[in-house]
Amino acid sequence: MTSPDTARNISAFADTKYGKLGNIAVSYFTVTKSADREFWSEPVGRLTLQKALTVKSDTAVADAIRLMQEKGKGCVCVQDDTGAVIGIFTERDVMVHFIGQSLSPDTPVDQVMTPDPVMVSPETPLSEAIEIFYEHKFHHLPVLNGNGRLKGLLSIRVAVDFVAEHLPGEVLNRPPDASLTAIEEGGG
Amino acid sequence: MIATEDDKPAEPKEVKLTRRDFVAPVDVRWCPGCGDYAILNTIQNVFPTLGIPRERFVVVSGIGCSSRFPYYMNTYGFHTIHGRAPAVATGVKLANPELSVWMITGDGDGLSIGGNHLMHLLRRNIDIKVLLFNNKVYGLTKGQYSPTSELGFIKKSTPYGSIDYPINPLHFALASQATFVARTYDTNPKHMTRIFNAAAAHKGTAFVEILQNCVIYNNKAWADIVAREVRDDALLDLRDGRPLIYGKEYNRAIRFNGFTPEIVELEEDATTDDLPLHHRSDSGYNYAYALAGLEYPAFPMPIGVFRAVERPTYGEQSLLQARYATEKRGHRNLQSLLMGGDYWEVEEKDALIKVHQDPHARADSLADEMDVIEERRAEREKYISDPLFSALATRISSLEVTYGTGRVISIDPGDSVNRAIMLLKEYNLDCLLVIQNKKLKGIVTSRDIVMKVALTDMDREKTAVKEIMTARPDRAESWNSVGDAINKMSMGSFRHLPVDHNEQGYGMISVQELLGYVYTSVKDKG
Repeated sequence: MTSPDTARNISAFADTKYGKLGNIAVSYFTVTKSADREFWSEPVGRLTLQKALTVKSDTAVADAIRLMQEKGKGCVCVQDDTGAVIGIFTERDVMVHFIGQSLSPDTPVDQVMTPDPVMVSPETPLSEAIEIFYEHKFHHLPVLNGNGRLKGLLSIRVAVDFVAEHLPGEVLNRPPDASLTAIEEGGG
Repeated sequence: MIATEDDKPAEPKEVKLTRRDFVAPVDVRWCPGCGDYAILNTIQNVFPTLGIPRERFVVVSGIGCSSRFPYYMNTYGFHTIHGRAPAVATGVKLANPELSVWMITGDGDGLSIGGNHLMHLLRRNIDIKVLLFNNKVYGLTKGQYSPTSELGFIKKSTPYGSIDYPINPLHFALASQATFVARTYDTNPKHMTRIFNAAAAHKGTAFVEILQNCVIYNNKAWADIVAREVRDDALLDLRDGRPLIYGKEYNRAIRFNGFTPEIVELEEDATTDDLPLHHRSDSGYNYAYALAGLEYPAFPMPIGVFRAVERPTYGEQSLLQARYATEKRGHRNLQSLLMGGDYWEVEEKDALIKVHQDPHARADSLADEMDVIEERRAEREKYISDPLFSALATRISSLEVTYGTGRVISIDPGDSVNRAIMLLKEYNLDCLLVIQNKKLKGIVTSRDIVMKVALTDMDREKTAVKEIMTARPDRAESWNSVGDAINKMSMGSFRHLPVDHNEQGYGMISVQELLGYVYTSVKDKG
């Protein structure tokens, strides 16, 4: 017979982290806790923003492309004399307007840029940025501060890394060869 | 001892024990002048005062000069194998929790040969008292350098001086999560007595380093610290609840400025009120670790009890666990475990294997398995019903139906760069697959064109796509999950991932499509 004291001890023991040994709680899937999923609403200002390349609106297209090539970046932001962002000039613009076209390399960039680009604020939630990326097939989103100044660029790569880091079990720690994933504990 | 009828040990009679009860009738063989004598004498004085019957003492040792100890104690004892005293002492204590188990080891036995064993004894907090005699040398094997020998220590095995950085035994113990850590020295029986009593009173593993002299191979090992004429200035005796004051004139103290220790000179009329007090029950390790890091001559060497905190012992917990398991599964014995259960019998090579199955054990293990399976099923259910996880677990091939693999345009590696440009522009794509003989050779993207072709004098008609493509791109299999694909994208910093459908050729998925799919799934269903 177990005395009431012992029973109490045992149930107290079973509640401790050590006591879990008594009724093994196997967690095969590394399930991300629901609290960790608030990352969708993380303001983009909290993600690592890239420093944006900027050019003046009268910059020659060739110079803008050269800048992209030198820095290995897929876009430049076009600013007017006050520093306001009036357009974005991206790889896609280069493909559409310059490559295989007879456009003069001296053409001012503001004639071929994408004017009034979609921009977000540092408070914009990541989910909204992802919807924009998806809808427009963008790779970069300029992020403007409250005063209208360019804070940086949100790149989709950073967004992907950010999502992956929040899903350690489902994304980050997937085996390189998914066919090697154990279907049963201990490999079956 | 003779067991009584109801198989309970007889209550020991109250017998006044004396030192003589603990002196074994054998000759003590250590070198004349060895520090071990004073330690042995002190232990023989302390044991009779602890209120424990003699038959409940067990002294367990490893190998080394200090490990001869059990012979000289008139108690139960084990002289075990090198470094393995913790294993034997653990067995003794767990089998009979009533025993007072004392483990004797040295700097070589405890920190080198048995370092790993000692670490686990300490972290488990088994109620065993560990006395580590530290003379900074292997004495029994005639003077090789030990884990605590100083840098530059010259002996036969280190004729040009030791280049092994010495370990601090107290740091080792603290890093092993010891609950009781103390230091004393062989030439002060009063101090040893105080520390051994404190160790005996501690519930859990008590680790005591004893600074000890090896008169033959490392004479005056600690003389510059513990010799009678210098020790007041060289030692700092830790007293719980008192400031860290030391010195012949009792006129200096240790204070910590952040993690940095400093020496304070006390003026004659200075108040000691603002000095910090020693707290051996400080639950963190940092304070004790910092104290243990004080080294002579820059600082006085602390002795006394550095740390003494309460934590459940291994013994208590294993007993509770055994009771819990017994309640759940009933009484078992080792024999039935060995003889029962499932096992295979192989009589000779290539002969049939006889399979034995114990229906009871089988039922038990099935019951356990069912528990686990049920738990896993519930978890999987939760997993599948969750929109985020089900989106991540979706096969990418089913996504491609939505986005259409028909959009994939391929090109031959020998085709011209101009053709690639034309295709990218015509279909308004970011990426082409470069395929030859139904095998994926590479991908070429608008980025490749902008970075490698624009503004160059490359002959776009004569240059082949293979010159500018990204060769051997990473790819996903059609049965990979969305999570797998995002992983590949993130790890490789890709924006496009070719998808291998084997006979059906190749598809492609973009980073925007993947993220968009996951987020839309969560938004729609969540």
